Amino acid sequence: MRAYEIQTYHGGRWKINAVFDDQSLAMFEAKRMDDGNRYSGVRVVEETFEESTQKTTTRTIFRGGRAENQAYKQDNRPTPKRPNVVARGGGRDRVGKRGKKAKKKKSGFAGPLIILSVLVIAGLAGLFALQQLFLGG
Amino acid sequence: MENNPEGLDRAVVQKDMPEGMERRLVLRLLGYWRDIRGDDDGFPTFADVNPAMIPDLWPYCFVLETIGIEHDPIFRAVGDEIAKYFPGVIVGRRVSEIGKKSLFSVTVDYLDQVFDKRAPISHGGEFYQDDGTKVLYRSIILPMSDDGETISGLLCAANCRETKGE
Repeated sequence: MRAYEIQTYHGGRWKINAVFDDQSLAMFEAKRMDDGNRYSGVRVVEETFEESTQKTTTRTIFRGGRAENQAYKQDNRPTPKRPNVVARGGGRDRVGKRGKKAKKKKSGFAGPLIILSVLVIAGLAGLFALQQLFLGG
Repeated sequence: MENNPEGLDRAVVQKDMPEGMERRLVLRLLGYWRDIRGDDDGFPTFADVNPAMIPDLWPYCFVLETIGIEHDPIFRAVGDEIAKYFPGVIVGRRVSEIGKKSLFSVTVDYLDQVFDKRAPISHGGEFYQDDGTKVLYRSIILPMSDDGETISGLLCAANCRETKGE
């Protein structure tokens, strides 16, 4: 047993607008509604009820309308690729040449380890300096 | 080839649909129902229905009162043409009283679905009269409301074609 639901998109959700048991009628009416621009989204969903399994399966057989196309594109838009991060630094490392970007090498633990080491060394140097200041006075 | 999401089939809608499709009774009445409903999300009222605006459709229409009696509505109005498909007077009768094998009975057979879906529903099919005549029909039931929300009545329509000897 098959039914064809014409659904319209309104207020951020799909709502049943009419139901037909004839595909050609449903498709004709859906196309007419879509052409009329009264609805931002129109689609036809085919519902099939299997007596043997008592289960209903659905599939969309027609999509139309501005909102639906936008939503369709939104759902299926490929994930935008993030641009490569340009390494910034002093002197020669600065990007002096147009169009040429330095690729940042993925280092894993090396980067944070170096930073930590620098901080530790700086901290120790600072402590040593203070010690000299107080003892040397 | 389109890369459609799983489960989506894009059907090709023919520009040239079967000839006369737009003149189908059910589609014209559905269009009228949408017009009187306007942009509202709710259901139109019977007060909005003007038979003079649909002179070619009204003779095939009938009205069911359903508020409080959804299980067994009452016929409240019947168009002249469709009335011919019932012997005697049908106005004032309940759905349970009209029996089977009539244009009215096959039309009201799916009115439960209208309450369930809360939307117009159209069915078509065939049935055999007692004399063996096969009748091909197409019908539609449209929900109506006094407050725009609660279905208080149904506007129905049906037409048919008899095929003898098939």
